[in-house]
Amino acid sequence: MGGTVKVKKGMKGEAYKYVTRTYAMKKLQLNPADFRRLCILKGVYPQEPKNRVKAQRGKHGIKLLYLRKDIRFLMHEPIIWKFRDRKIKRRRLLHAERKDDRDKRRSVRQFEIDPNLDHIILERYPTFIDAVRDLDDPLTTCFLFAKLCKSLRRKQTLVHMSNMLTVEFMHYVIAARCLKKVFISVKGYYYQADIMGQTVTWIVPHPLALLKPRGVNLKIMRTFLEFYIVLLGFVNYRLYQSLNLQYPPRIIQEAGDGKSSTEIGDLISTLNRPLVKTKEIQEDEVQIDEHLMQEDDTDETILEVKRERDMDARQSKLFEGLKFFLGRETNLESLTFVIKACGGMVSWDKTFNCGSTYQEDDQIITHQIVDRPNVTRKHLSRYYVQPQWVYDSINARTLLPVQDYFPGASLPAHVSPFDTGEDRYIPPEKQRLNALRSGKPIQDASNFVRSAEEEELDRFDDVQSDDEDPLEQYQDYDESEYYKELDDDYEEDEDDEKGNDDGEKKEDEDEEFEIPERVNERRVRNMAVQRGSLFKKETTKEEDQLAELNLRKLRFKTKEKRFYEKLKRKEKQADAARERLAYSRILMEKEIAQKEATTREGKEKHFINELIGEDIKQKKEMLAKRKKERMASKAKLKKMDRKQIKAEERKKKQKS
Amino acid sequence: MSGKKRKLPTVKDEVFEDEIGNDDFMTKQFDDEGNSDSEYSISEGEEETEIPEDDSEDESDDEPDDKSAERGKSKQVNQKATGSKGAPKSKNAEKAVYNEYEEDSSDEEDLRNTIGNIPMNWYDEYPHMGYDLDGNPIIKPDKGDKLDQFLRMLEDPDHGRTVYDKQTGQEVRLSDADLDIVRRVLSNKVPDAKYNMYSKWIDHFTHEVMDMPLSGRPEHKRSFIPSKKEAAYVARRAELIKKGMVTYKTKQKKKRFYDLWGTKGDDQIRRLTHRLETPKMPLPGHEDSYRAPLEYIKEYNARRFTSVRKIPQFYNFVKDRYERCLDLYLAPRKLIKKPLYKADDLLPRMPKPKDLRPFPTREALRFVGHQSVVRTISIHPLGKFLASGSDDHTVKIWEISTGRCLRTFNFQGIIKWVAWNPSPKLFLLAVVVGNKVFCLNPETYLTDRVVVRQTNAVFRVEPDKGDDQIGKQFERVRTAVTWRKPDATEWSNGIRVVLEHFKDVKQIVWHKQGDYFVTVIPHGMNRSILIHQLSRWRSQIPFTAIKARIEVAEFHPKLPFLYVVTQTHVRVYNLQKQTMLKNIRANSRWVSSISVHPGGEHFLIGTFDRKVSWFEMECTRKPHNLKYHKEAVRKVAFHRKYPLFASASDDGRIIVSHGMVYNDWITDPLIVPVKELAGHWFLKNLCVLDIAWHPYEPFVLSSGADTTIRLWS
Repeated sequence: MGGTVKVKKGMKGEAYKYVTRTYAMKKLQLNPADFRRLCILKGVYPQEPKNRVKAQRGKHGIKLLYLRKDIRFLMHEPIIWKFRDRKIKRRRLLHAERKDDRDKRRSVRQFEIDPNLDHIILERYPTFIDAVRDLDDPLTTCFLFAKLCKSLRRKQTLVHMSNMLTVEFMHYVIAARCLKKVFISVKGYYYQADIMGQTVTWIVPHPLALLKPRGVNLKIMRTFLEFYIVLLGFVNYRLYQSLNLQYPPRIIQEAGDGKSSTEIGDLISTLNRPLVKTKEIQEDEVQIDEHLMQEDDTDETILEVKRERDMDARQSKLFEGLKFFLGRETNLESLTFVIKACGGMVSWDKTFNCGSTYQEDDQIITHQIVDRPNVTRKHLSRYYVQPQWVYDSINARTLLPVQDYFPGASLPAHVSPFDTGEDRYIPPEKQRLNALRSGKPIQDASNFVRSAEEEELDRFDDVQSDDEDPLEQYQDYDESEYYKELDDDYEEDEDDEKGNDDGEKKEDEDEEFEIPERVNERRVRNMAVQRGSLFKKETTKEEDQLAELNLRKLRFKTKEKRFYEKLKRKEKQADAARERLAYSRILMEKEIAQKEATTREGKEKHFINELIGEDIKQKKEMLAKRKKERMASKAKLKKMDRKQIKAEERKKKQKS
Repeated sequence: MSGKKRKLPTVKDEVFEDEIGNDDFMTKQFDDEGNSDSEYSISEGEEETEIPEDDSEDESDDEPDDKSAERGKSKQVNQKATGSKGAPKSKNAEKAVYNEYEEDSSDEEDLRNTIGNIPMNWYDEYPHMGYDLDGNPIIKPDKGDKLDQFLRMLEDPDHGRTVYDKQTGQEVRLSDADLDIVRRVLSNKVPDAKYNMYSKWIDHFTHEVMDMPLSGRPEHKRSFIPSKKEAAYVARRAELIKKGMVTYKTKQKKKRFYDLWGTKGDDQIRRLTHRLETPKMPLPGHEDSYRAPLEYIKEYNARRFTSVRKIPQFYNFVKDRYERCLDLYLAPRKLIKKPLYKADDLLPRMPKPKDLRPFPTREALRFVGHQSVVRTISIHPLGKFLASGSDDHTVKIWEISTGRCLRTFNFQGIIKWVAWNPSPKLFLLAVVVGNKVFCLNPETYLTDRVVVRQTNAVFRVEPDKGDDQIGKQFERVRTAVTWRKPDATEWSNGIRVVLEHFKDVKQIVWHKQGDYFVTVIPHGMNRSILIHQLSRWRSQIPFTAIKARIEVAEFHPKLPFLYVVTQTHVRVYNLQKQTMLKNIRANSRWVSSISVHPGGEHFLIGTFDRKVSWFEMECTRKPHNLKYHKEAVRKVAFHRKYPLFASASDDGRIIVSHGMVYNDWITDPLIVPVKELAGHWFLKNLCVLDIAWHPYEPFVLSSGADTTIRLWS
């Protein structure tokens, strides 16, 4: 007895922890296809080991390594038996077919295998929120299959289901008004919604035929889809429950709507009919007790939260009271979804699609969305705008000025509303969007919305103010020169020596030391032989900060310094990229300006601008007036505030 | 009885409807049959026997006139078809109208050709086409040439319905009835229009018990005894049902989706706990926009469509999704910590600058006057005067508080080193020029007269050099250094004593009491360090053998120790006991300077390989290597009073650091660089050459290659 117990090689540590794919398949007695299916359904994925050499037991190459724990867990999965049943069924069927035994074939076919995935969903997503958090991929996949080209639709039921579920989901988003961001990219439409506090992003392809490129195995995607459909179904059910909506959805029909099941299905998928609620409950929005926060009103974070909440509410009611009419060349589904999710009303030509509520002649229509360059604007009571206006407005959380989006106008750039890293370059359009989104400085926001005239005038103002600044500098300079001359005068009449006394003084001051900010001027004046030049250089804050930064850098240990330098290098690269982009923008703008100048229209514009330039003086005066008025009103407000505050204080005093 | 009879057809109707279902073809046919449905409804209440009569009546009502007309027509055509042969045949035909058997004749009887059913092309080569009943060949009828045929075709209005009979070689005109049959056959109908496919069921074999049985055999016993086998089966089954072993599957329509998370508690389910969350898809940037900002077009190949309508489908949409799917189940996952912070957040914290104050922060004074590089400076221990030695062969005395140059002394050579005597009783400056060390009394009108006089008095008389002036040791010293009195001119220039060495002197270091000083002669081999006693004008060579070149030396501030610095080592000698205390490796190739902390427990080393190292005397811990500088470090210096030290380097910077030493032996000294001072400008890669701290103010003075001396406060 005694001695250490020897553990067999490969039974401990990294080598034991990980297991190759072939081993896993052997252990589970599954073929590769079934193993893949199982992995997809159960959400088991290979993991990167800490030490690959050890984990692979010294084998060459890179192997897919699963955790042994995971594989052991998979062994208890009941769905494996379903796979085996299916395999046997297939074999029997083949057998019967070969024997041409129709009775047997029928009986084998009748043996149904119900691949129930409910328990897997409950296992993978313990709570509902977990499922919502992981909704990005299911939604995108379902939308893809719902829009897939017909020839690619292998299993019609799956496609039908995915179509249905996506429509249901969109209905939920409309009912909950939780759409936050939209983005038309080259790849498709990006939507971002805030569901139960989770941000969910999904992509919908453009409404054109989707083709399967080479090298895509639809079988794998179908397995994913099978799982996602079940997941999305349960999530939808729960979401509908949360809003007291009936599930499966039923619509409130209007007069003239079809009654057959297919017609109703079509109507549901147009998203233009409200859903039936299970019970009408008066919704009291839960309000946070604001008076609790009032005390810390100055706190930036609380203010931020408040502002964000207000802006959010504003966004969900953005299009309320507006009536849209969609042209037949627009993306009907997307626009309907987006507009309805912000509270607007939508309709289209009744010959184009079912579900339209009003026709083009309706005088109450406020916006007609048009995607053609030349449109005869029949009605003066409405704006004719391009679709991008809707998307940009939602992202900006305000109704943007319409004039940039008129049909035929060259549209402003459509920037991504998503935050993609602070260190990246932010184009001016995005800056503007951010300002509008946050709704922080209202004046700034109004700046952006101001008319072109005012902007021009402002530019004029800026130039002038720039001119003024250097003058002030010169004045300063003059003064200093003046003093220097004075100094020189003093130099000529050398007099007493007070340095001695000063030295003694210094000795006295030894105990409580102060850094002398300036050398006494008087002392300087009384110089004897040759004067040492005096320096009184005031450093700016930025310089100080830079110096401090440099000093802090000196305290690094070598290892950390290396990491720091790596990061710094990256930041530098990002900076360089930013600068490059900014520069290229300037170049492009110049190019465009040149092009415009050569064209006739551009020349006309230039001419008009010049004409306007003559009135600039008048306009400037106007602007100055306006500014004064603004300031006066502000001052008034302030005064009012002060008065109020004082009055309140008095009241309080009286009370106390 | 009659009731039952009546029931039958209705039952059949239902069956029929069930079977037929929605089959279009059948219903169509049904309609073609001519209101048969309605017929049934009419006939429902009537007797069965009446039905055929009804049928016949119907037909007779509808068709008799038409039929006779058709028949008439067909005859005429027949005449025409055969008409080419002449009138007699037509007469026969007229007769035949009245021959009632004419109509009944079957096809076979009509057939005159006896060859049977053989391919007629066998007779293609012959003039005849078979044989009649008598065995005579039947001559092929004359068809005429193509033109005739064509003409006939034009003339004949019935050409469309004539058929060529291959066996007889004659053209037969089809009657309307024939055509009807053809039409019906083509449309998959029963050829005979009169045939009723769904005639009423006639119950030939009724279930009525016959009065007279067909056979008189008595019935078998088993026909009225219940089966035992069946009884056993039933019993078995009943028992199973009682036990509940037989359950009948009832297909219940299960709700597809339900409140999954509400129904089951999630504690019971086993699940993997170490799951890594699925990584989110990257969000699109501006370059992915359908109308990207201008700057992204060239850099990122972004697209800029003029309107939403013009966006094409993204070809790789499916592929992207597919790859994402692959990633989800096939890509190895790993938790990676991504730095979300900026690089500057990584910087170590600085103690508050407030706590570290005072330290020099900016340039306050500039001492201008030298003509060349200022190599060395020294500050008087009382902090009032500054001595500086320059390459323009002058030593200048400055007043620190104002920056005035008080006096200038000219020498014959570059001033290598200046050092004030630390004794308050003496006003003496040691100046190193070449191999000479001058002890100078740079008296000015600002100096304390008493001290100056005292100093002059000390050097007026040559002191007694003692007894032991003989011997080997003395000889070594005598050849190395000689003390001499200055001549009159030198005296008037302030020089009080001159020491002439055998080789160039690099440095001179005073002991704190001001009586002893050490001169360093780098090329002096074994005699590279000399200790001199000022009061007795005596020198000694402390070391008999020195193996390395000596760079600098320094006294311990409190104890009788001497730090001797070679290129790579620092040696600490106890002068009293005449032993070497320590030999410390400096961790560098070339040490340039040393400064000992006023406490005496630590010392700093500046090296030409850009390092500043903070050593502890006990050497219990690793030295702090401060790699602040980018170029060689020329000089390091501790402040005598404040916890400050400074290092000057060829990169043009003086870095002032806070170096706090704690009394307990455990805590590390706190070393924080607090200020970078840069201002001297370069002259041939030289910049700051010397620094010195003010003895009691937090001022640092620096001399540079730009001929200036600067005071930083």
